[in-house]
Amino acid sequence: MALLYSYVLRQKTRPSEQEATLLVTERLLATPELGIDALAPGEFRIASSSLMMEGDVYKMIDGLIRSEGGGKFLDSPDLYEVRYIRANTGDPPEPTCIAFVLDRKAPPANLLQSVGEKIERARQWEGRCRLGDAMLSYRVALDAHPDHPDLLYGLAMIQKRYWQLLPPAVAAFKKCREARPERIEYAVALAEAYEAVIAHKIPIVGASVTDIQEEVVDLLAAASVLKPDDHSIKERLKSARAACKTRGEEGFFS
Amino acid sequence: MAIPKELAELMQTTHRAAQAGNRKSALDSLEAFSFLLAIQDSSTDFEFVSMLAVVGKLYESMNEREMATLNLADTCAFAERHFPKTAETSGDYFDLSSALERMGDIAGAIKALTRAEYHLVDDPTWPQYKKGIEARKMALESKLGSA
Repeated sequence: MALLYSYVLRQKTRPSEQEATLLVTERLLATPELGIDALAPGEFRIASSSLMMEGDVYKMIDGLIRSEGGGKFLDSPDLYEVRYIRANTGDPPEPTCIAFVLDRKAPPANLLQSVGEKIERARQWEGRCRLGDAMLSYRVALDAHPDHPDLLYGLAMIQKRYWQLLPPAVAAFKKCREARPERIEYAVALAEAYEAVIAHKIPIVGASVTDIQEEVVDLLAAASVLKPDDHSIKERLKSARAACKTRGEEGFFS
Repeated sequence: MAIPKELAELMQTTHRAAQAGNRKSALDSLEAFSFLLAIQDSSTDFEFVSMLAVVGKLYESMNEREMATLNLADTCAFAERHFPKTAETSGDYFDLSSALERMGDIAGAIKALTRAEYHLVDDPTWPQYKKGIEARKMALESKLGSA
């Protein structure tokens, strides 16, 4: 069955988003008997909280599920199954309950095309220089996995080649960066897209050329920190800083 | 079904060029068709998947089998999400299975056939296709085993 949602409730300290993701992933890997063979496309979410009072996290986790808007998961057992795991997590260890919401109606994973299959296909189109078909392929994939960074990045890299499509490319790169700030290529791609926006005088509401130029500098500086031995990024950062200084306040886009 | 005018014109241009044997021109206008289809958002799901499938048919008419197969897989990906458990989606997967078999991807052909089966099992026509699909799957599995 496909995993739709996970909830983590700990006794005293609320797990961070990162820790909650790690806890859920560890339990998924360590508990094959859960029977989870897929993540519901584009819909998998984790919510975490702490009890901050006396009580049994195992008994109270349904309250967390309801408070996070998941009442339907508890009230529609024909559509959803909720499985609970007890654990001691954190440092020092605290009683924790993890609930997995499974989608009973979702087909087994092997009967749906995976993200991997879709990414590979879009890249095959790109490899054949059929960019229209590659965009179609990414569009189809994003329809099922709307926030997948690799798909957003793949599509935006093609859009970036056409100045008319720079606005959606910028929006996509921003999403990629939010999802995976540690990826250098996302920072560099967003910086390049912003530079193209400036070059084509594409208006961005509420941002001046200098604002965007400073954003380019910040992005390249972040990329440079992530990959300090990359001289090309350093050179580009130097140029971006120089451009930022010479440009000054040239006025505002609309 | 309302197809945007520019798309309809590009479709006709591609078809005419393909018929006249002007492969390069046909591929160019088909690329423009795909590009426009990818960036427009005025079509319904049914219109979109229908036009997506047209791309594959046009590749097929130019004997571009690999690209026709890639397109068929894209069509299936969209159809399985928006039109699951229908004879049409099953038919798309069946066609994909045949295309993959022709290209020598037997494992892929089996996978596509399994998906075709999944989308058809609840359809009233399933009993009439059941034996045929099972026989075809056995033949593919035997082909895979002997490869």
